[in-house]
Amino acid sequence: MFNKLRRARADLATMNALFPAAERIARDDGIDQPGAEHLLLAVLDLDDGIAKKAMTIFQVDPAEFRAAIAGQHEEALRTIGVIADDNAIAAALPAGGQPRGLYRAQGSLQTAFQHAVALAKRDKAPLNSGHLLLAITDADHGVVARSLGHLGVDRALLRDHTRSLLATR
Amino acid sequence: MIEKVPDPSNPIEALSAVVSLRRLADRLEAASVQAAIDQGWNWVQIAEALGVTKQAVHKKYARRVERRAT
Repeated sequence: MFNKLRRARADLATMNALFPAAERIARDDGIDQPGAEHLLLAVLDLDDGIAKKAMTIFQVDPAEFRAAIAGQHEEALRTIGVIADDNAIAAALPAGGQPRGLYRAQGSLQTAFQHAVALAKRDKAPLNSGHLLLAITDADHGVVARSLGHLGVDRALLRDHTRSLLATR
Repeated sequence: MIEKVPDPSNPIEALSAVVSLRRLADRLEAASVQAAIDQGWNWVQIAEALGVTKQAVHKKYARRVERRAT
């Protein structure tokens, strides 16, 4: 019972760090509600360092992942003949402001987060960045899968590596 | 201008384009609201231009947008 309480307390601290960070990252990108890609960027900053370590093996840092997100959007728009000056829009965006407190997110983030909580529960461990990375990279489609593809990262290998890091903790 | 329609037999391409168009619209909206505020527009005028209520636009942007010197 005490372990459960300890885990719940640790999970709450993780969520308190993660959600405002994901919202801030989305806002800086001009997006009102964070998605799984913004959650992944926030996860790379979590103190346990598992996700960051897993991504480092594939030589992907947060700046490169951000660039890959923008790159895959550009590619997707090009398929319908839309060309937008992303840099000009970025320069005109509002400063971002403070997170609203009352947390709202895109479905992709909600699904990934619920999956991560289930993985942590299965491990009987506090939620960590490894669980979150596994959950976020589970979807075969979507911005995260396309961005990793854009970087040439083999998602299956990344997930295997993350599982290994989780197992050796 | 959208010059091409995605191949309907390729839903991955079409759905990806939809997601990216939504992101583009969100970013363009945020940048345009900022520009309007900088030029002295009020929330009622911005709401009218976007076709939404004043409450909706205020709730979404009041904490994000501050008037910048032009």
